Amino acid sequence: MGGYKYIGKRIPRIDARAKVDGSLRYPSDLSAEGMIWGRVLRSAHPHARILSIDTAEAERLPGVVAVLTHKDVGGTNRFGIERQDQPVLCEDRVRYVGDAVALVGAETKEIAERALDLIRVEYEPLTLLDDPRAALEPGAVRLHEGGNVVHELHFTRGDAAAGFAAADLVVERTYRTQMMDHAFLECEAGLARLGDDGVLTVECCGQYAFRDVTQIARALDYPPEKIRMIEPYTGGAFGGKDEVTVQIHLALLALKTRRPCKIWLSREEHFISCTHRHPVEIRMKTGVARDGKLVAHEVQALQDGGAYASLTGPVLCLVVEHCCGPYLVPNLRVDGWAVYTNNGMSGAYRGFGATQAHVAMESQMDLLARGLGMDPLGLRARNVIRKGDTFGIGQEMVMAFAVDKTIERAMAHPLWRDRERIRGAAGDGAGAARRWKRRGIGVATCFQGSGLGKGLPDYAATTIELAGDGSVNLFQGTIEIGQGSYTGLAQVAAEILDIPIERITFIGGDTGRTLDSGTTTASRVMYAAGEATLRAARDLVAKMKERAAGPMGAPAESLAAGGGAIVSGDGRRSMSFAEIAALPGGPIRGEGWFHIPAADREFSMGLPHLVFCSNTQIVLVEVDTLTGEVAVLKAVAFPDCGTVINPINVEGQSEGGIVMGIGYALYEENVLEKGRFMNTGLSTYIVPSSWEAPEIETIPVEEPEGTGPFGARSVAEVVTTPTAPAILNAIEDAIGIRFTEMPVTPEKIVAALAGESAYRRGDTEGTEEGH
Amino acid sequence: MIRVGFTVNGRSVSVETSPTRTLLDILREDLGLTGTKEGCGKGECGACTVLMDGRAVASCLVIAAGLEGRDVLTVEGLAGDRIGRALQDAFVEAGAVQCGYCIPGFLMAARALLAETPSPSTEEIREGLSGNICRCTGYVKIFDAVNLAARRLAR
Ligand code: FES
Ligand code: FES
Repeated sequence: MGGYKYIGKRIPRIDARAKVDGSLRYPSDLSAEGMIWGRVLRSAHPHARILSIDTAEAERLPGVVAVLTHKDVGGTNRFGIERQDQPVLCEDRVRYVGDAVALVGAETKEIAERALDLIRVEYEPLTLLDDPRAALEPGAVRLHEGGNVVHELHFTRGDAAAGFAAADLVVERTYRTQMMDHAFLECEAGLARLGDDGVLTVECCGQYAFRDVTQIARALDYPPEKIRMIEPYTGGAFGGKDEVTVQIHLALLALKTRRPCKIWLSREEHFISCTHRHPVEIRMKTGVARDGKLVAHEVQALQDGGAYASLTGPVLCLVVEHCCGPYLVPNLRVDGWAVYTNNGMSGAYRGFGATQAHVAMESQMDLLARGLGMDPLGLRARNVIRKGDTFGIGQEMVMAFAVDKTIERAMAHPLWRDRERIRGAAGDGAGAARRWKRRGIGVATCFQGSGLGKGLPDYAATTIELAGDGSVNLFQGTIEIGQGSYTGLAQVAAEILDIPIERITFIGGDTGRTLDSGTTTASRVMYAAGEATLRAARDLVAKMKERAAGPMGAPAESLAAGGGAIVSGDGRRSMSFAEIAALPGGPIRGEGWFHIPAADREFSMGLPHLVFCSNTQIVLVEVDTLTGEVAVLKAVAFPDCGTVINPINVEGQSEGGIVMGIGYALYEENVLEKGRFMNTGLSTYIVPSSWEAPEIETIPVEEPEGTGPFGARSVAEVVTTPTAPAILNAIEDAIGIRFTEMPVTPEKIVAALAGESAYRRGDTEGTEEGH
Repeated sequence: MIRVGFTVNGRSVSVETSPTRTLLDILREDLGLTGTKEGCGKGECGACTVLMDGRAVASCLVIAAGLEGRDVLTVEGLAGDRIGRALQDAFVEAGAVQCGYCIPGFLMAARALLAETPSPSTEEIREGLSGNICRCTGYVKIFDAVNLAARRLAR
């Protein structure tokens, strides 16, 4: 691209070396002199009243420093990103098996563990609410004072009934997406210490250090200005570290014991206590005209939010916002409910509701294409949203958006063009001998809003400071959760300042040193923090020019940055950054802010978005009809992410997103029975391994967005969303069976092929001709 | 309590510990070698992989009682090893590192693989790394990195 030195280049990550030599300290690696270990006692029941908590015996155990309960919490004792309804330590009621009842601090982790067994809690079990449908019934047990509905949304555009009447084909199905675990490799961890000055420093995993300050301050009634969060690096997050996990417990233990303390959840505790991807039941009825134009769409979504709100409401908003996929539908009716149950917790997860919505919509699109005898990509191309269109719930596409190009590129790709031949080559070309293997090729397209959406503060800020040796220190409040944004942001600064990446020291995610730059979620960092960084770098250049103008004897406007120096217009005089740093006048610091553009009107919390990314994927699967196993052999992705700042990072996101989507489609599910988690280890909760990784090709569609740095948008979520529906579509292509419930396990396939389940070959049930 | 003597990254160490304590905890807590990670503590993720007498093992499953006289190599010792160093460079250059938490385990598993099979096929790489989970990368660039290191070492 455009003669850039750093933008668009395959620059290795700035933090990779410290990660391959083992020197990078993750939150779980931290320790301190005199440190104690904290452990949380979780609820013994998914729903119960607490009659009493007796900590005496645990306190007597040698090595136990403190056993804390709700009585030790000074503030609201509540947390939650959207609304604060989750107890830090439960008072008189537990609503899920991960609820925290008591907190132990002990000299060793073994003692802390033993102390948990000595805490006596008397419970009186209450009626279990484990079915989201039942939660809506009038007589249902109420999990919270306001009832069981976390959020509901209803929209209509046009006239759906008239639209269906005019349709040539109507398809109706109910899809059930499952609860999914983030399964990041580093479980929730951190270290807290209380200084003599009363400053509480918490180094931990997280996705928004500044909001963690607020959540701790509110829950414990501790002054926010005395709380410092340090969270630059963590071992994976994917949305699962957005809500508070260990933060408040760490703070409480440090405040009460005045000892440094560490908490590190076990894998089992992680599975039970953390937020998950919401299970959503989505009924869709979609009508299409013979020419392939969508004419009507009716959607009902019921989302299981689990025990507390966290981000359940905003996730429902995104289910609704994305329920038409990236397509124009003139007549729409959508009704969405999100409810409380005793089924664990759900919250933010890469894709944030858009993922579930697309599983349903992209399955519908394939069924419609099949019914009409149209090319599935052709049907999609016929209906895409283009810049300038009013779409979905009535928002307008005003920013760069190229979903049409992602589909065009997919159509031209050999995996799609030659799909007949490739499908015929099942069983590695071994011919008749492997005829039990069937190949299928499927596609899916998706889109996703970037940023938090309308009505929520959504800005980013960067500071860049000139150091004495002419290098710079870049301060950025967002978190490096593995996506590579610290490297991308450094590239943006390097391009403007014209200095090598190695001359940039990155300081991230520290409320004591960086400005608030918003969340590390919602596909927003490369776009928003990227633009703020670009502006900060420009501001630093402007200030260096001002400082150098006098000594160089030239007006500031005539100067420019180049090669680590400020250079005069004729190129004859120059002053290096180090020389400028030595000039009198104090430190030189550039600052940059950026607010993500927002729509004029607000539909609901965070609705709608204005900035969007999209993606189309093609997958090739091979189904073993004897064992029911599905192998994804190849995947090709066409992410529409604006200008690519670093191709390695975009490919990396795409590859990781696809394999995560394979897990979603085929293997992963948090299985709950009566509110209890059945699979709480990595041998029973199956994530894809090296055997399941397909060959992957990523071909970015670079449609630049003027408001982003060098035209960049974002990519973190659209990379995973199309994979699961593309696999469902490919499975139907292979064996003629449409699955509407995930994961599609070998058992489900074998049963369906044997005619022993509700799934049938060439199933057309629920498909009707219009009028 | 027992006292065990073994070698870590070429250095002799002697620690006093309970006999059932894991090698993983001894490395991380007693010896300050936090480069070896814990992802599950049950032999299910591979994040804690180290080499013991040249073989890749899950250090969360090795207990102190069996450590006497063993030779342990961790990620901190990789740079001093020809194959290890090549793997580290290749992982950085190929973009195989995202959050990085799984990476020490992958490096150790790959080190064991290349010591035994200097030019592995894709199938052999998948097999050699099948005990290690990565949630970020989709494995593609990890395979690339192992291939790259193998090619360079063959020169
Ligand atoms: S921590 Fe040892 S295998 Fe997971
Ligand atoms: S790089 Fe994050 S788990 Fe592998």
